[in-house]
Amino acid sequence: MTRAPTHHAQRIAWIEAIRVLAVVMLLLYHAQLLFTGYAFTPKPTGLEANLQQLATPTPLTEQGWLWWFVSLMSWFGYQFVDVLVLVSGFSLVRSLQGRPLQTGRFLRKRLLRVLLPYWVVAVLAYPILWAIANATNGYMPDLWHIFAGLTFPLLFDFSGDMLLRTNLSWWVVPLILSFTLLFPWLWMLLERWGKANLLWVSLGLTLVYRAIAVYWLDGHPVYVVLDSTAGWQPFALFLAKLSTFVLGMVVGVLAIEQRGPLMWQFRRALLIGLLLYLTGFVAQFYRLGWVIADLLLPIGLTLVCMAVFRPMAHPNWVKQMLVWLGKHSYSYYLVQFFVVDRAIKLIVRDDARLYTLLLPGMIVGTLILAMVVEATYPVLRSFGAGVIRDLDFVLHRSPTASALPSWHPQVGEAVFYRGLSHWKVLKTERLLDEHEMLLCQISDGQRSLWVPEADLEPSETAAAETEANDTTPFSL
Amino acid sequence: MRKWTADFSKLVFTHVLLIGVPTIFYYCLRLGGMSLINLHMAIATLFLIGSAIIFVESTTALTRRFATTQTPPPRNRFDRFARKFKRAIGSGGRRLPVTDTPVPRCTVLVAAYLPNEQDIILETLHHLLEVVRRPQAGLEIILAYNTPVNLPVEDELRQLAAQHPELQLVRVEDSRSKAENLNAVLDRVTGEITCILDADHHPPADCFERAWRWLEYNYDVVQGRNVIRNHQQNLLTQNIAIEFEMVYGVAHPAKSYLMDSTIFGGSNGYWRTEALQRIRFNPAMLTEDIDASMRTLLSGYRIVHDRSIVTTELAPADFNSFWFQRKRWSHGWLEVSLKYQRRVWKSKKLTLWQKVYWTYLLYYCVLYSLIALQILPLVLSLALHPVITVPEENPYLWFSTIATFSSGIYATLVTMRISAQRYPLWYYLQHAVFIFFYTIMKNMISIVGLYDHLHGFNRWVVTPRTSAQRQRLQPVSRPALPAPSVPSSGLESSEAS
Repeated sequence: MTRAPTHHAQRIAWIEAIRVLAVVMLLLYHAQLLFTGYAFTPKPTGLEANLQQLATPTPLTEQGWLWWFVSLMSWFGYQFVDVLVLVSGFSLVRSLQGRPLQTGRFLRKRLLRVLLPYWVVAVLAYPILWAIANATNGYMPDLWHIFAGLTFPLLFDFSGDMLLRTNLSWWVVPLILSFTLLFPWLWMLLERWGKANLLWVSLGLTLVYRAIAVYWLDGHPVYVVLDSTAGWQPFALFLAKLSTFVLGMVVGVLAIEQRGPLMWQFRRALLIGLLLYLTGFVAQFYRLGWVIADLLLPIGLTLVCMAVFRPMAHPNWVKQMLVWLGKHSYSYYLVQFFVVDRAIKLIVRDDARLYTLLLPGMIVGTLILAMVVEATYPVLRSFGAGVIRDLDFVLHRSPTASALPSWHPQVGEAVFYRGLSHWKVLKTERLLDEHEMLLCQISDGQRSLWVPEADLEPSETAAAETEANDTTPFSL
Repeated sequence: MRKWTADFSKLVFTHVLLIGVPTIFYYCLRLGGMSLINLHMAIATLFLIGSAIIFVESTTALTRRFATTQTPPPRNRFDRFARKFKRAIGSGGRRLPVTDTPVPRCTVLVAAYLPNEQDIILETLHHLLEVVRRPQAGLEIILAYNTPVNLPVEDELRQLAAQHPELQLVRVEDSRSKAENLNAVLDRVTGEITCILDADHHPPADCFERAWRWLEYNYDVVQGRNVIRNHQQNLLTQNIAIEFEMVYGVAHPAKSYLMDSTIFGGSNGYWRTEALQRIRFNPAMLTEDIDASMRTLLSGYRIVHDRSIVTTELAPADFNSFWFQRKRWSHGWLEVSLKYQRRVWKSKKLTLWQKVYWTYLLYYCVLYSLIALQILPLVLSLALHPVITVPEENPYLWFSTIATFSSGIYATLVTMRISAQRYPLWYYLQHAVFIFFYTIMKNMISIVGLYDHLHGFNRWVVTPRTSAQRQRLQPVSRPALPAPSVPSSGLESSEAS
């Protein structure tokens, strides 16, 4: 059997459901903020004051009880950013499948997995934004910020400040990169120190950092709109969410050992989840609470979601659908702000009824655009790789058709083909291609194909290689 | 059998993406007051370059030719003057020395997928055994075929082989491609020259004598000219017949004359066996012939096109076959382009002009089908816009438009002049009328081929040959040999069925 089919099996359907819910909730959150002009954001004024503000009628709450409920939920969509961080740590550990981590290979694959979809969205988005701005005399980022967006992470800054002129939700991309770069190091510490020690140390670090960020640096969480010295930026740094990510990793390790929260029954998960969530929910309305709120909220939300989605995701068709949707979650996130921003500014404006009518369209439309991005991704990747490959070949002082391999496959030998196992060489053919080139006919028992020997690896070498590319960047 | 309609969704998707989305995009820009005239002129330039190349190739094919071993005396004073004039401007035929050495032993390799070609293979073998002149050193014919099931025609083939010891039959087990069939028998070839043929190809009697003149003088591969013998069948085959005359009578010979480089088209190719046994064929490539051409040239071997060696073949007689054949060609050329273009640039075996020529055939043609298409959304966005009018006063746009249309007509006229067969005049007239739509259709198929390539769909779809097709065939008419030269256009060539 090859590894290809197992990729799907590795994905846990209810985890995918959480990813999908997360990105949709973030879309709703951004849409509501834009439509209402930031009518509500949590303030450190206490629970009662915030609840009173939430109870203040808005054009949306007048559209019936359903919209009142959607509107209420949407105000807290930001909480899912931390859920995604938690899930990310979990999924990265699972993607290792218990095999040793090869740092170079992991980083190369993961960084490309994060950056390539981002670049595709950027390359597609700027011309479209330009055209829309031309047609409507609307907003268009200036050239410097377009340059920053297209060449990211050339002008990398931890908070994604240079990206915000293009897309307010892109601040998460540097955060994803930060955790990607940190992961090998954290994994090494996890193996060296053990799960508990790493978790406690990271928790201590995160709490201390968040306390410093609040009381010393005068910062506030990303979702709070408040005048302060440092603003939201201290909370955009990975340190503010480090323990959440590490917790995800630890849960991932426990899950491989068939232990931990993933083994919890419905009632336990729901009760503990609700308890943690409510504590975090209240904490976010107090300055002191900011130190711990973002640590409790994702744990509580994830447990509640697990309790709800796990039984729902049993039917096979639901699993397949969730896995399919989950694959688009990263592109969905990258695109969603463009959709809601332009839809609300150009079409909805301040018409609440139109907003309620168009909101489902925005959700589905973003999914369609995410699918377009995913479909375009291999095209642009091939194109970009082709340009680089051609350029390198032309500029190389002594290029060869292909590096001469040190190993030649033999008929009957078991080989790896592009990382997939259980292929066997059936036949070989030696051709002239400036130099002699060996073509091999290989078969996995079901199909056979001809490939150049350069595409093959000896089975013993390839088996040792691990793969880090199996999850979405929202693992993240 | 797969239907072309299975690709319909891809066709719609790619064209919405390449025409619909850009139309909206350009329309938005026009709403902002942009005229897009520079973009319009850039695309017009692309058309102009294509037209210029067609004019140059057509003129070259019309006025210059290879393989003139005998020149008849001038018919009159005007003829004498015309010949002097041609010599003065460097035009006219290149005189080849008459060969001193006898043609060595030759081999014909016929590749066939029998379930598809069982109705035509016997006719082809009879033609080879009875019509092709044998060198003194001998001739062998090897049929390399594959079939998933035993067929009655195999018994007939065995009977034929028993009557003709020079005929060898090789059933290649587990083969799924022409390349595998050919590779399987290359090592048993005993001839010094090897001719590769498809199952529907009928070469002329003197094919080896003509090919030997080139192989004797430092060429390694001679590509002959393919013409369509079922051209009477319907409108499609009539158009393909004229298209083949343009490609094999004009484009390839002109390029061979101008750049001393051309392609092996998969059939009617005469190889120095030693070179062929080293080059062999890559079964992983959709157009193994173009792949072999590239490897041949990059390895320092030389290919020449001689349009005096004319074989006849069958054109796809229905749209379904045409669709999959052209999609495979298009997909295959793309594969080859991506694989070899950079190596062409760095090759020490090719001259600068040959590199330019191959860049035109590879990357330029891939991009052309995409960029040229942008003229449609540009025009559509113009039509949608309420204010901006057509830039009709722009002389450059007018010039490029006239040049584009006239190049097609000129190429058709030149083809008419030098065609290998005499076709009715209305073939050419209708081709001149339909060439615009025919080109658009081929472009559309190319784009679906591009889509397939990018998504890794590279299943080989055999071009079906029906028994009906065979029954409708007319007796083979001898082509008028050797016709003077002609026009050029596309780069279709890969002949494998």
